[in-house]
Amino acid sequence: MTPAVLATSPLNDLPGPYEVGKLLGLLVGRRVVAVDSGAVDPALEGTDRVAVYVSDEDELMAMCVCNLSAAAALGSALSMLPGSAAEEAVVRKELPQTLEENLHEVLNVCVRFFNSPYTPHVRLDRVVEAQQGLGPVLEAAFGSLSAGLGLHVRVGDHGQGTLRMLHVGPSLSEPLAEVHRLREQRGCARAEIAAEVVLATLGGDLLTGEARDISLGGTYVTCDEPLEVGVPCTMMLLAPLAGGTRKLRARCRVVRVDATGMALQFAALAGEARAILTALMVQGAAATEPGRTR
Amino acid sequence: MTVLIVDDSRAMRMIIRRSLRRAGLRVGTVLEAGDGVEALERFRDAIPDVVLADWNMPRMNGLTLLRQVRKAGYRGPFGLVTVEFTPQMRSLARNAGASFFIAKPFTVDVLGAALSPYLS
Repeated sequence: MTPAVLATSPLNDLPGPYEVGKLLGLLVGRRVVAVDSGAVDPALEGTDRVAVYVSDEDELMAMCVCNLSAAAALGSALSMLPGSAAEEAVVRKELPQTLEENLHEVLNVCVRFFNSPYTPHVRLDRVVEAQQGLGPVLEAAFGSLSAGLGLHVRVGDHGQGTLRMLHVGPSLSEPLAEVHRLREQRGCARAEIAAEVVLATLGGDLLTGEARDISLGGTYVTCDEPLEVGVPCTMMLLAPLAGGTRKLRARCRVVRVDATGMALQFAALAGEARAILTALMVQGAAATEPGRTR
Repeated sequence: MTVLIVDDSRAMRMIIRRSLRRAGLRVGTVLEAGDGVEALERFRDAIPDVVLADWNMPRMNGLTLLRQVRKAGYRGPFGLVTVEFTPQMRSLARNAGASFFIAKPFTVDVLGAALSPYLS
Protein backbone atom coordinates (compact mmCIF):
# COMPACT_ATOMS: atom_id res chain seq x y z
CA MET A 1 0.00 0.00 0.00
CA THR A 2 1.27 3.44 -0.88
CA PRO A 3 0.03 6.05 1.56
CA ALA A 4 -0.70 9.54 0.30
CA VAL A 5 2.25 11.16 2.01
CA LEU A 6 3.15 14.75 1.41
CA ALA A 7 6.90 14.89 1.25
CA THR A 8 7.33 18.49 2.21
CA SER A 9 8.80 19.42 5.56
CA PRO A 10 6.14 20.55 8.01
CA LEU A 11 8.45 23.38 9.00
CA ASN A 12 8.72 24.94 5.59
CA ASP A 13 6.67 28.02 4.91
CA LEU A 14 6.43 27.12 1.26
CA PRO A 15 6.86 23.80 -0.51
CA GLY A 16 9.55 23.00 -3.00
CA PRO A 17 8.83 22.31 -6.67
CA TYR A 18 9.08 18.56 -6.15
CA GLU A 19 6.45 18.59 -3.40
CA VAL A 20 4.11 20.69 -5.51
CA GLY A 21 4.45 18.37 -8.48
CA LYS A 22 4.00 15.30 -6.34
CA LEU A 23 0.86 16.48 -4.57
CA LEU A 24 -0.78 17.85 -7.72
CA GLY A 25 0.14 14.72 -9.65
CA LEU A 26 -1.42 12.52 -7.00
CA LEU A 27 -4.56 14.61 -7.10
CA VAL A 28 -5.12 14.86 -10.85
CA GLY A 29 -3.79 11.42 -11.68
CA ARG A 30 -1.26 12.75 -14.19
CA ARG A 31 2.46 13.36 -14.07
CA VAL A 32 2.91 16.94 -12.97
CA VAL A 33 6.35 18.46 -13.28
CA ALA A 34 6.98 21.67 -11.41
CA VAL A 35 10.19 23.65 -11.75
CA ASP A 36 11.33 26.81 -10.07
CA SER A 37 10.78 29.72 -12.44
CA GLY A 38 13.17 32.03 -10.63
CA ALA A 39 12.11 35.53 -9.68
CA VAL A 40 8.41 35.85 -8.94
CA ASP A 41 6.55 38.39 -11.00
CA PRO A 42 4.29 40.43 -8.69
CA ALA A 43 2.11 41.61 -11.60
CA LEU A 44 -1.29 40.04 -12.16
CA GLU A 45 -3.03 39.19 -15.41
CA GLY A 46 -6.77 39.74 -15.42
CA THR A 47 -7.41 36.05 -16.04
CA ASP A 48 -5.21 34.87 -13.15
CA ARG A 49 -7.00 32.98 -10.41
CA VAL A 50 -6.01 33.95 -6.90
CA ALA A 51 -6.68 31.49 -4.11
CA VAL A 52 -6.94 33.18 -0.73
CA TYR A 53 -6.09 31.18 2.37
CA VAL A 54 -7.00 32.41 5.83
CA SER A 55 -6.52 31.35 9.42
CA ASP A 56 -9.38 30.22 11.65
CA GLU A 57 -9.57 33.86 12.73
CA ASP A 58 -10.03 34.91 9.08
CA GLU A 59 -6.57 36.47 8.99
CA LEU A 60 -4.99 36.43 5.54
CA MET A 61 -2.24 33.79 5.64
CA ALA A 62 -1.34 32.75 2.12
CA MET A 63 -2.15 33.12 -1.55
CA CYS A 64 -1.69 30.97 -4.59
CA VAL A 65 -1.88 32.58 -8.02
CA CYS A 66 -2.62 30.34 -10.95
CA ASN A 67 -2.44 31.71 -14.47
CA LEU A 68 -5.14 30.79 -16.97
CA SER A 69 -3.21 28.08 -18.77
CA ALA A 70 -2.22 26.35 -15.53
CA ALA A 71 -5.78 26.70 -14.27
CA ALA A 72 -7.14 25.13 -17.43
CA ALA A 73 -4.59 22.34 -17.42
CA LEU A 74 -5.17 21.40 -13.77
CA GLY A 75 -8.93 21.81 -14.06
CA SER A 76 -9.23 19.60 -17.10
CA ALA A 77 -6.87 16.96 -15.76
CA LEU A 78 -8.80 16.59 -12.51
CA SER A 79 -11.91 15.28 -14.22
CA MET A 80 -10.04 13.60 -17.06
CA LEU A 81 -11.31 15.95 -19.75
CA PRO A 82 -9.19 15.94 -22.89
CA GLY A 83 -6.28 18.34 -23.17
CA SER A 84 -8.19 20.12 -25.94
CA ALA A 85 -10.61 21.41 -23.30
CA ALA A 86 -7.74 23.23 -21.65
CA GLU A 87 -6.47 24.56 -24.98
CA GLU A 88 -9.91 25.88 -25.84
CA ALA A 89 -10.21 27.66 -22.51
CA VAL A 90 -6.87 29.37 -23.04
CA VAL A 91 -7.84 30.50 -26.56
CA ARG A 92 -11.18 31.84 -25.33
CA LYS A 93 -9.51 33.35 -22.27
CA GLU A 94 -12.15 32.01 -19.93
CA LEU A 95 -12.68 28.88 -17.89
CA PRO A 96 -15.87 26.88 -18.37
CA GLN A 97 -17.74 26.30 -15.13
CA THR A 98 -16.56 22.70 -14.86
CA LEU A 99 -12.92 23.71 -15.06
CA GLU A 100 -13.54 26.54 -12.63
CA GLU A 101 -15.05 24.13 -10.10
CA ASN A 102 -12.25 21.68 -10.62
CA LEU A 103 -9.63 24.37 -10.11
CA HIS A 104 -11.32 25.30 -6.86
CA GLU A 105 -10.90 21.73 -5.67
CA VAL A 106 -7.24 21.70 -6.74
CA LEU A 107 -6.57 24.93 -4.88
CA ASN A 108 -8.46 23.58 -1.90
CA VAL A 109 -6.08 20.65 -1.75
CA CYS A 110 -3.14 23.08 -2.03
CA VAL A 111 -3.98 24.23 1.51
CA ARG A 112 -1.74 21.37 2.58
CA PHE A 113 1.24 23.43 1.48
CA PHE A 114 0.45 26.03 4.11
CA ASN A 115 -0.51 23.87 7.06
CA SER A 116 1.82 22.27 9.56
CA PRO A 117 1.60 21.20 13.19
CA TYR A 118 3.68 24.27 14.06
CA THR A 119 1.73 27.02 12.36
CA PRO A 120 -1.82 28.36 12.70
CA HIS A 121 -4.42 26.32 10.86
CA VAL A 122 -5.06 27.65 7.36
CA ARG A 123 -8.04 27.01 5.07
CA LEU A 124 -9.08 28.06 1.57
CA ASP A 125 -11.39 31.04 1.85
CA ARG A 126 -12.12 31.81 -1.80
CA VAL A 127 -10.80 31.82 -5.34
CA VAL A 128 -10.93 35.19 -7.09
CA GLU A 129 -10.48 36.03 -10.74
CA ALA A 130 -7.97 38.88 -10.73
CA GLN A 131 -9.94 41.09 -13.10
CA GLN A 132 -12.90 41.07 -10.69
CA GLY A 133 -10.78 43.00 -8.22
CA LEU A 134 -9.04 41.69 -5.15
CA GLY A 135 -9.74 44.39 -2.62
CA PRO A 136 -7.22 46.52 -0.73
CA VAL A 137 -5.95 43.82 1.64
CA LEU A 138 -5.05 41.36 -1.08
CA GLU A 139 -3.64 44.06 -3.33
CA ALA A 140 -1.41 45.25 -0.52
CA ALA A 141 -0.21 41.70 0.08
CA PHE A 142 0.86 41.47 -3.54
CA GLY A 143 3.58 43.94 -2.80
CA SER A 144 5.51 41.07 -1.25
CA LEU A 145 4.72 38.49 -3.89
CA SER A 146 8.28 38.64 -5.15
CA ALA A 147 9.25 36.92 -1.90
CA GLY A 148 7.09 33.93 -2.75
CA LEU A 149 7.60 30.81 -4.78
CA GLY A 150 7.31 30.90 -8.55
CA LEU A 151 6.78 27.66 -10.43
CA HIS A 152 6.36 26.55 -13.98
CA VAL A 153 4.10 23.49 -14.04
CA ARG A 154 3.43 20.98 -16.78
CA VAL A 155 0.34 18.83 -16.27
CA GLY A 156 0.71 15.66 -18.32
CA ASP A 157 -0.66 16.35 -21.80
CA HIS A 158 -3.11 18.94 -20.50
CA GLY A 159 -0.82 21.92 -20.84
CA GLN A 160 1.41 24.08 -18.74
CA GLY A 161 1.39 27.35 -16.90
CA THR A 162 2.57 29.16 -13.84
CA LEU A 163 1.82 28.93 -10.15
CA ARG A 164 2.92 31.53 -7.64
CA MET A 165 2.66 30.99 -3.91
CA LEU A 166 3.02 33.50 -1.16
CA HIS A 167 2.94 32.94 2.55
CA VAL A 168 1.58 36.21 3.88
CA GLY A 169 1.39 35.30 7.56
CA PRO A 170 4.40 35.71 9.81
CA SER A 171 7.22 33.39 8.93
CA LEU A 172 7.77 30.96 11.77
CA SER A 173 9.81 28.32 10.09
CA GLU A 174 13.26 29.15 11.40
CA PRO A 175 12.50 29.79 15.08
CA LEU A 176 9.96 26.97 15.21
CA ALA A 177 12.44 24.63 13.61
CA GLU A 178 14.76 25.48 16.48
CA VAL A 179 12.00 24.76 19.01
CA HIS A 180 11.26 21.49 17.28
CA ARG A 181 14.94 20.52 17.27
CA LEU A 182 15.36 21.33 20.93
CA ARG A 183 12.19 19.47 21.80
CA GLU A 184 13.40 16.34 20.05
CA GLN A 185 16.86 16.67 21.48
CA ARG A 186 15.81 17.28 25.04
CA GLY A 187 12.31 15.82 25.26
CA CYS A 188 10.99 19.20 26.30
CA ALA A 189 7.29 19.72 25.80
CA ARG A 190 7.42 23.21 27.30
CA ALA A 191 9.85 25.86 28.41
CA GLU A 192 10.24 27.09 31.98
CA ILE A 193 9.86 30.81 32.49
CA ALA A 194 9.08 33.26 35.28
CA ALA A 195 6.91 36.02 33.89
CA GLU A 196 4.34 38.37 35.33
CA VAL A 197 0.85 37.85 33.98
CA VAL A 198 -2.29 39.98 34.05
CA LEU A 199 -5.58 38.32 33.15
CA ALA A 200 -8.82 40.07 32.24
CA THR A 201 -12.12 38.24 32.13
CA LEU A 202 -14.97 39.16 29.81
CA GLY A 203 -16.76 40.60 32.84
CA GLY A 204 -13.91 43.04 33.42
CA ASP A 205 -12.30 41.35 36.43
CA LEU A 206 -8.53 41.55 36.61
CA LEU A 207 -6.14 39.24 38.37
CA THR A 208 -2.41 38.85 38.42
CA GLY A 209 -0.14 35.87 38.64
CA GLU A 210 3.11 34.41 37.44
CA ALA A 211 3.58 32.19 34.42
CA ARG A 212 5.82 29.31 35.36
CA ASP A 213 6.08 27.54 32.07
CA ILE A 214 4.86 27.99 28.55
CA SER A 215 4.29 25.90 25.46
CA LEU A 216 3.02 26.55 21.98
CA GLY A 217 -0.45 25.67 23.22
CA GLY A 218 -0.69 27.41 26.59
CA THR A 219 0.84 28.34 29.90
CA TYR A 220 0.58 27.56 33.60
CA VAL A 221 -0.07 30.52 35.90
CA THR A 222 0.33 30.51 39.66
CA CYS A 223 -2.13 32.78 41.45
CA ASP A 224 -4.10 33.05 44.67
CA GLU A 225 -7.61 32.87 43.25
CA PRO A 226 -7.67 30.98 39.97
CA LEU A 227 -10.61 31.29 37.59
CA GLU A 228 -12.95 28.40 36.98
CA VAL A 229 -12.33 25.81 34.31
CA GLY A 230 -13.77 26.90 30.98
CA VAL A 231 -13.65 30.63 31.67
CA PRO A 232 -12.32 32.65 28.71
CA CYS A 233 -9.98 35.53 29.39
CA THR A 234 -7.39 37.76 27.83
CA MET A 235 -3.81 37.35 29.01
CA MET A 236 -1.06 39.88 29.00
CA LEU A 237 2.30 38.30 29.79
CA LEU A 238 5.47 40.29 30.27
CA ALA A 239 7.87 38.11 28.35
CA PRO A 240 11.42 38.31 29.71
CA LEU A 241 13.38 38.06 26.50
CA ALA A 242 17.09 38.57 26.12
CA GLY A 243 16.55 41.82 24.23
CA GLY A 244 14.18 43.20 26.86
CA THR A 245 10.66 42.64 28.14
CA ARG A 246 7.91 42.23 25.53
CA LYS A 247 4.16 42.09 26.02
CA LEU A 248 2.54 38.88 24.86
CA ARG A 249 -1.23 39.20 24.49
CA ALA A 250 -3.44 36.20 23.89
CA ARG A 251 -7.00 35.07 24.20
CA CYS A 252 -7.10 32.08 26.53
CA ARG A 253 -9.38 29.64 28.26
CA VAL A 254 -8.83 27.97 31.64
CA VAL A 255 -8.44 24.24 31.12
CA ARG A 256 -7.23 23.06 34.54
CA VAL A 257 -7.19 24.40 38.08
CA ASP A 258 -5.18 23.10 41.02
CA ALA A 259 -4.03 24.23 44.44
CA THR A 260 -1.40 26.65 43.16
CA GLY A 261 -2.92 28.08 40.02
CA MET A 262 -4.39 27.23 36.65
CA ALA A 263 -3.48 26.06 33.19
CA LEU A 264 -4.48 28.30 30.29
CA GLN A 265 -4.91 27.20 26.73
CA PHE A 266 -4.24 29.78 24.02
CA ALA A 267 -7.30 30.30 21.84
CA ALA A 268 -5.81 32.64 19.29
CA LEU A 269 -2.49 34.34 18.81
CA ALA A 270 -1.91 37.32 16.57
CA GLY A 271 1.24 37.52 14.49
CA GLU A 272 3.27 39.55 16.97
CA ALA A 273 2.17 37.32 19.86
CA ARG A 274 3.24 34.25 17.94
CA ALA A 275 6.65 35.77 17.32
CA ILE A 276 7.10 36.58 21.03
CA LEU A 277 5.94 33.12 22.07
CA THR A 278 8.33 31.53 19.63
CA ALA A 279 11.20 33.59 20.97
CA LEU A 280 10.25 32.58 24.53
CA MET A 281 10.15 28.94 23.53
CA VAL A 282 13.53 29.07 21.87
CA GLN A 283 15.06 30.89 24.81
CA GLY A 284 13.37 28.65 27.36
CA ALA A 285 14.07 25.40 25.56
CA ALA A 286 17.74 26.27 25.26
CA ALA A 287 17.91 26.83 29.02
CA THR A 288 15.89 23.79 30.05
CA GLU A 289 17.72 20.84 31.52
CA PRO A 290 18.01 17.77 29.26
CA GLY A 291 15.25 15.20 29.65
CA ARG A 292 13.06 17.45 31.76
CA THR A 293 9.41 17.04 30.94
CA ARG A 294 6.26 18.12 32.60
CA MET B 1 -23.55 -2.73 -1.24
CA THR B 2 -24.58 0.87 -1.58
CA VAL B 3 -22.07 3.69 -1.12
CA LEU B 4 -23.10 7.32 -0.71
CA ILE B 5 -20.46 9.87 -1.79
CA VAL B 6 -20.98 13.37 -0.45
CA ASP B 7 -18.73 16.10 -1.84
CA ASP B 8 -19.41 19.51 -3.33
CA SER B 9 -16.83 18.89 -6.05
CA ARG B 10 -18.25 16.86 -8.92
CA ALA B 11 -14.74 15.99 -10.00
CA MET B 12 -13.92 14.63 -6.57
CA ARG B 13 -17.10 12.54 -6.53
CA MET B 14 -16.05 11.13 -9.88
CA ILE B 15 -12.54 10.40 -8.60
CA ILE B 16 -13.92 8.58 -5.55
CA ARG B 17 -16.37 6.64 -7.70
CA ARG B 18 -13.58 5.63 -10.07
CA SER B 19 -11.25 4.73 -7.21
CA LEU B 20 -13.91 2.52 -5.63
CA ARG B 21 -14.13 0.59 -8.86
CA ARG B 22 -10.36 0.35 -9.28
CA ALA B 23 -9.85 -0.79 -5.70
CA GLY B 24 -11.84 -3.92 -6.47
CA LEU B 25 -14.28 -3.37 -3.65
CA ARG B 26 -17.71 -4.98 -3.53
CA VAL B 27 -19.68 -1.93 -4.54
CA GLY B 28 -23.10 -2.15 -6.16
CA THR B 29 -24.95 1.15 -6.22
CA VAL B 30 -23.11 4.44 -5.85
CA LEU B 31 -25.20 7.42 -4.81
CA GLU B 32 -23.96 11.01 -4.88
CA ALA B 33 -24.82 14.21 -3.06
CA GLY B 34 -23.34 17.69 -3.33
CA ASP B 35 -23.65 18.58 0.35
CA GLY B 36 -25.08 17.39 3.64
CA VAL B 37 -28.60 18.57 2.84
CA GLU B 38 -28.68 16.56 -0.38
CA ALA B 39 -27.19 13.60 1.46
CA LEU B 40 -30.06 13.59 3.94
CA GLU B 41 -32.45 13.52 0.99
CA ARG B 42 -30.63 10.46 -0.36
CA PHE B 43 -31.03 8.83 3.04
CA ARG B 44 -34.80 9.19 2.71
CA ASP B 45 -34.68 7.20 -0.53
CA ALA B 46 -32.29 4.46 0.55
CA ILE B 47 -30.04 3.75 3.53
CA PRO B 48 -26.47 3.39 2.24
CA ASP B 49 -24.15 0.69 3.53
CA VAL B 50 -21.21 3.12 3.64
CA VAL B 51 -21.00 6.92 3.59
CA LEU B 52 -17.96 8.87 2.35
CA ALA B 53 -18.33 12.57 3.05
CA ASP B 54 -16.19 15.64 2.54
CA TRP B 55 -15.76 17.87 5.58
CA ASN B 56 -16.12 21.36 4.07
CA MET B 57 -19.28 21.75 2.04
CA PRO B 58 -21.86 24.50 1.58
CA ARG B 59 -25.22 24.39 3.40
CA MET B 60 -24.29 21.41 5.61
CA ASN B 61 -20.78 20.16 6.23
CA GLY B 62 -19.69 16.57 6.71
CA LEU B 63 -19.47 16.76 10.49
CA THR B 64 -23.02 18.05 10.83
CA LEU B 65 -24.22 15.39 8.43
CA LEU B 66 -22.45 12.75 10.50
CA ARG B 67 -24.07 14.01 13.69
CA GLN B 68 -27.51 14.12 12.11
CA VAL B 69 -27.46 10.61 10.66
CA ARG B 70 -26.04 9.16 13.88
CA LYS B 71 -28.74 10.94 15.83
CA ALA B 72 -31.29 9.47 13.46
CA GLY B 73 -29.98 6.00 14.23
CA TYR B 74 -27.67 5.25 11.30
CA ARG B 75 -25.04 2.78 12.48
CA GLY B 76 -23.23 2.10 9.21
CA PRO B 77 -19.61 3.08 8.54
CA PHE B 78 -19.18 6.79 7.92
CA GLY B 79 -15.83 8.05 6.64
CA LEU B 80 -14.67 11.62 6.27
CA VAL B 81 -12.62 12.43 3.17
CA THR B 82 -11.00 15.81 3.33
CA VAL B 83 -7.83 17.77 2.70
CA GLU B 84 -6.41 17.68 6.18
CA PHE B 85 -7.38 16.93 9.73
CA THR B 86 -6.19 18.83 12.73
CA PRO B 87 -6.18 16.86 15.98
CA GLN B 88 -9.23 18.88 17.02
CA MET B 89 -11.06 17.91 13.84
CA ARG B 90 -10.27 14.25 14.37
CA SER B 91 -11.44 14.43 17.94
CA LEU B 92 -14.69 16.12 16.97
CA ALA B 93 -15.33 13.60 14.25
CA ARG B 94 -14.54 10.59 16.41
CA ASN B 95 -16.82 11.86 19.15
CA ALA B 96 -19.55 12.30 16.55
CA GLY B 97 -19.13 8.70 15.40
CA ALA B 98 -16.76 8.83 12.42
CA SER B 99 -15.53 5.39 11.42
CA PHE B 100 -12.40 6.38 9.47
CA PHE B 101 -10.58 9.27 7.82
CA ILE B 102 -9.09 9.61 4.35
CA ALA B 103 -6.90 12.57 3.42
CA LYS B 104 -7.12 14.14 -0.02
CA PRO B 105 -5.45 13.48 -2.32
CA PHE B 106 -5.51 9.74 -1.83
CA THR B 107 -4.39 6.76 -3.82
CA VAL B 108 -6.61 3.86 -4.83
CA ASP B 109 -4.70 1.73 -2.32
CA VAL B 110 -5.44 4.10 0.53
CA LEU B 111 -9.13 4.22 -0.29
CA GLY B 112 -9.23 0.44 -0.68
CA ALA B 113 -7.50 -0.15 2.64
CA ALA B 114 -9.89 2.16 4.46
CA LEU B 115 -12.99 0.56 2.98
CA SER B 116 -11.99 -3.06 2.72
CA PRO B 117 -13.25 -3.90 6.25
CA TYR B 118 -16.71 -2.88 5.11
CA LEU B 119 -16.79 -3.64 1.39
CA SER B 120 -14.60 -6.70 0.88
